Amino acid sequence: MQQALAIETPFHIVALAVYAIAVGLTLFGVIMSRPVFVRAGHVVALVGLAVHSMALGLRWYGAGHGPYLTRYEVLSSNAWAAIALFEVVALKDRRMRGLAMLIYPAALLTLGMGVYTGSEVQTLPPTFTGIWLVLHVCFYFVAFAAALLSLGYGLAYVARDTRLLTRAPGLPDRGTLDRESYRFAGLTFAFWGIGMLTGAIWAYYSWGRFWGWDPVETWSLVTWFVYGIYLHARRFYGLKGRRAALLLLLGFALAIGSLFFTSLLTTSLHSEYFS
Amino acid sequence: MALMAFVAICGAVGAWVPQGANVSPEAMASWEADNRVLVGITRALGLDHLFSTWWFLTALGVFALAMSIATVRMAAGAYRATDGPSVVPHAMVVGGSVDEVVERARAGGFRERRRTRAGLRVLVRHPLGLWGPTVLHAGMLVALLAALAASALTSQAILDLSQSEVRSPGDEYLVTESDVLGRVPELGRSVRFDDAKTETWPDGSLKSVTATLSISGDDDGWVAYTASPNDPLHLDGHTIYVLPGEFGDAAFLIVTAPDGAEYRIRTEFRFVPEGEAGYAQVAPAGVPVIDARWDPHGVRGPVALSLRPAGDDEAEPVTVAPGETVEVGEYSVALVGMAQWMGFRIVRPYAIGVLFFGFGIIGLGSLMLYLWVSRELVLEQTTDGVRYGWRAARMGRTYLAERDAILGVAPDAGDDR
Repeated sequence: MQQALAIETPFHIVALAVYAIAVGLTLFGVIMSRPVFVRAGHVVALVGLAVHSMALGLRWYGAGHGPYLTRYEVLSSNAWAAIALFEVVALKDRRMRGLAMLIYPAALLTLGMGVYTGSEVQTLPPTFTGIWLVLHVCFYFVAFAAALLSLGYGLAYVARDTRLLTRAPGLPDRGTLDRESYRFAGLTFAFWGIGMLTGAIWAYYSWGRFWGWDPVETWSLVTWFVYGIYLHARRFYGLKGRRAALLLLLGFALAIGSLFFTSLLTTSLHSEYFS
Repeated sequence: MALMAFVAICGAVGAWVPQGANVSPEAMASWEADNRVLVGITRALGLDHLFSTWWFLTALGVFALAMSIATVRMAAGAYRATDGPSVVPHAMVVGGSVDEVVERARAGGFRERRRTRAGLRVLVRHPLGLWGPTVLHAGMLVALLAALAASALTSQAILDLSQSEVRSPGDEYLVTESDVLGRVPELGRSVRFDDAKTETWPDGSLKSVTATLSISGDDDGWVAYTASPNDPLHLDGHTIYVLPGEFGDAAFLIVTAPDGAEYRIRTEFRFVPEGEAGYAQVAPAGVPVIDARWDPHGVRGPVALSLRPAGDDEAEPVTVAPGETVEVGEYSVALVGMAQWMGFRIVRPYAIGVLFFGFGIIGLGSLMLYLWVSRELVLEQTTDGVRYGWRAARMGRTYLAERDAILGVAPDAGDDR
């Protein structure tokens, strides 16, 4: 187990380097309108994802628990989920590959922050057992990935709309981008909501309360409501385009804040663990 | 949407202003000192206990009412859509045959619902998906109402027991939190704490703790139960939780003050990981006068408990074994013995089952929304070909390729064929 821990950090750093190459290739391809570089970036990112998967697997084995306890593990898992979800989308619909110019740097930054915080292993406290915790964390991983993709589509829409990226290869038309951002915002709302609910069940079994208005819980609820407002505004009030992207930006900022920063800035039950 | 925005803004304010129920009085005072300008409005509006103010709870009630109305309207809309074709055939595939299209649709998982009197043929895929939004909102409504009921009618208490200590019905709790009717939990049976078993990780930190509790039975005997974090004990409509971190060893001391007053004190040390020592203060009459160190792993020496006058870092600690009496500063201290202690939370829950049922409905509604997107194809044979109408409940353009394959037309040929 110690051997696994000894090599997982180098694996993480290699994954980071490979993603950085993928970011460079993709950005060059998009900015210079060279589709071959976008494709190459995609292939390199797949290699990075494989290395990253091995790094997380080693971490899992070495630490004796899933990669969801320390900030290092949480950030790395979130970055992995974002890249993995995007690769599934990009493999299914090749028109979406250009979106990598937004997804890869965001995932790179997330993973980089994780590696920067240090890879110290923490043992699981007694309350960190049971399926509800695993479900709680996993749903949030997917929700974060979906939120990132949704924002990516929204920003790509704005870039297209403002003629910033009129000739970018690997990006569909504005209508498709707008619709996809809506679709992934819906996915974010569903997964974020279920993540909250499973967290409430876990809290109930651990601490005897399902909701405590803890700052992290509260910001998470606020984030969910903002995505709910976005979905209702699109469905019933014709919100779309740039304004919709702006609301997504707010939702994503809140998501980042509640997932990664609230427990650092306030006194929260979550601060005890995700430090 | 306005209510959602209002609740979200309240949430943001409540997350920013420390809530009295979640922070210590010192932390609250510190925040007020840093934000003097806001203290007045915070107190006037009750922002320091925002989530229990009458106006926030009223907003939640109105929100529940609005959601009820929306859910009923959604259900009516879903029923109408289930009952009849929701689109009229308006586009044309020249030269096609309805029977061929129906065959392809069936092969693609569509089911023919009915033939209308006008000769329309209606094919549907995932008709249950039409109810997705209704189910999702109904689940939210159930969960919200159950959460409000649970908050109002759940009572709880903290109980602190040492090994072999018994709490009989009616005895005082350490802390109580009654429900809105003023009730506190009462098991109606005696509870005895037998022991706590721990497991540690290789680094000495705590892996698991399991408490054994004996509860008096109907025939004056005791029945043993266990409880651990994430696996509380459910009994007679009450739930007994082990408080994670609130357990360890306790020293039973008799402290004699310089004026001759005698105090019987239980000094509690929290669980001490391998290679570390635990610290606590001995406080006769509520004033700490002695610092105590508990060294169960023998890090500092063979005798586990040592004492010295409070705050006097220069004083040499005095060790004391069970049955011994030692002088610590001006106080005489006798160690009667050591025993385990543990904190428990006793909760009389209300509506939790309904709440979790609401969660389940929300999960089901989400799945119905995203996995079972309802599609409907309405066909009419004409002399020129097939006239059709198409509707996908959500993300309509995503399913255009499916529609085109069923109709047997070229992909991306446009909507108005």
